[in-house]
Amino acid sequence: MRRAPIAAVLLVLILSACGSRERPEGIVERWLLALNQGTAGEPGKYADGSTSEEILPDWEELEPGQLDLIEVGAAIPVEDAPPRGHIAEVHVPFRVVTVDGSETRGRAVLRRSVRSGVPIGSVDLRAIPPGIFPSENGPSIIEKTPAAWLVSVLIGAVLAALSWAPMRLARRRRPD
Amino acid sequence: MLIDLGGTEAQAGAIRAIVGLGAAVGFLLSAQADRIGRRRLLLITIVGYTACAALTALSPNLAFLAGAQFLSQIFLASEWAVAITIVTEEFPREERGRALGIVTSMNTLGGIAVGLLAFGFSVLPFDVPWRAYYVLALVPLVIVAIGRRSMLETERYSAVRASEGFARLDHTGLLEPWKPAFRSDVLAVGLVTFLRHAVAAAAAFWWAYYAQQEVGMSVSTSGLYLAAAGVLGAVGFIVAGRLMDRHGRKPVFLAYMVGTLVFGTWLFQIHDPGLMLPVLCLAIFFGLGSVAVTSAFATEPFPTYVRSRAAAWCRNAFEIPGGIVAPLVVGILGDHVSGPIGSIGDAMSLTTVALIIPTIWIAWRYVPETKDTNLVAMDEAVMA
Repeated sequence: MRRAPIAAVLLVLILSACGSRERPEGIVERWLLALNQGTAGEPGKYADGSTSEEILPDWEELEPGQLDLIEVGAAIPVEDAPPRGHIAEVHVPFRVVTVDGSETRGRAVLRRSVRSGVPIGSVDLRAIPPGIFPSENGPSIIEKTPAAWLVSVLIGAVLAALSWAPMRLARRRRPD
Repeated sequence: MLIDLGGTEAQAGAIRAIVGLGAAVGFLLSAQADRIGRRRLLLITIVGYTACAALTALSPNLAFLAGAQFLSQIFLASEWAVAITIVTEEFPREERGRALGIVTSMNTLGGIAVGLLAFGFSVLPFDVPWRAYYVLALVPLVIVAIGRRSMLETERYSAVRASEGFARLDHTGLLEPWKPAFRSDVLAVGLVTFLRHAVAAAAAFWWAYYAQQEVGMSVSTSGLYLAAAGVLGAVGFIVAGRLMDRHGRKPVFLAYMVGTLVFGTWLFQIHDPGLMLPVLCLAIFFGLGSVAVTSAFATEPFPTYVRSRAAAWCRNAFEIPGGIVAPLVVGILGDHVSGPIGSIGDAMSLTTVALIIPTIWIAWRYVPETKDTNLVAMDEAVMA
């Protein structure tokens, strides 16, 4: 009976380990969320102060919560196999809307194999056409497979079956 | 609050965790209702909670505030448990479900009332400090001071206390609900409560994040949606209460869980803000409304001398851990940077499917139907 929770924890840890690849969309989203928290969010971990200034001028002086909407689209690899000595670039489209309603759309430029420094090198604020973001019927960042639903139903069935043993044990000496 | 007392978001998160532990510790206090009586424990918890609210209002720093809120959660969790026990014991069999529906809806309506209060304060021409909210929590103390003499012990507890067999029973042991006579019911109800609350807590924790980061809704729109859906969803408690008086506890719970499975799973797959609101209302209606039924499950199968401790096990010992574990697991699975699923919406939908299926199975197979349970006859059988 004690093995079930241990197995569940192990499963979560194994699944987490499988997904150790860092998604560029998630990094850009974390940067924008950190920027929205001001200095306490430490956006400097993701991009230089000057890059953050392009999205939210005077962000260090502002109250947290200046961005009312943050959305990130699916990453666009610029070069899948860069020549030796070059670093692969990934562009991640994003849009933010401030509490006063002004919208900024652009691409964050990430260097995929960067070993030092911040992951977001710069931003390109040239206009992004509609249809790029999930809310504009653009492509989803993650495509889940039908197998995920099947695994979920199976886990549910296994948990239901596992309840049989402790319930049988609890009922064993129950008086009528 | 953070600005006034000088704290960071990380410290706010730590305070939230400490305060959450208070609800688990509340298990020890709520179990005392079998020893000292329902009325006395209710008065203690009301006075204790309001005293802690006053201490919170006077907090000079974050450490003091964390301590005061930790204590207030102990009293609040116990107050809730004893209130459910009182309703179960004081209402006639054919009206118990309706009464439980009304009492359980108060939790959600209380949260909505605070939102309305905050809105009312925001339109005033001056700033209202956060401490004012805690000063308002002193109102119950005034009501208790006026009405404590007219508040009576429950008829069931008084009758059991006055009976000859009372001295033979164990009114203090925390493990008494795990006696062979009760343990299968405690385990079945506890597991159902754990799984149902795990899904509800994870959905409540992650919905706003999902709406804002994965659907592209603004903070203000998602807040409005949540307030509107909360009001409509609260009707779920009342409807559940009425239905379980008419059709029984198990059929209503199973129907509500099927509703939770359908609308809870669908909710986190929607990317159209227009469709989001009605599905959110239905998910809250079924997901939260089922608490009215689990409250009946946690109290009605047990005789009066052990009822409060059994309810404390089902709620504090099973439900609260479920509310801590599930949001954490969904966060790990759906983390946008490194999670194996990589989407909070997908992680939440898949978790709902994985947890609600066993909830339905355990409730259908092992939880007893208590619609026609005669509490007096049950007590007499135990005393004999």
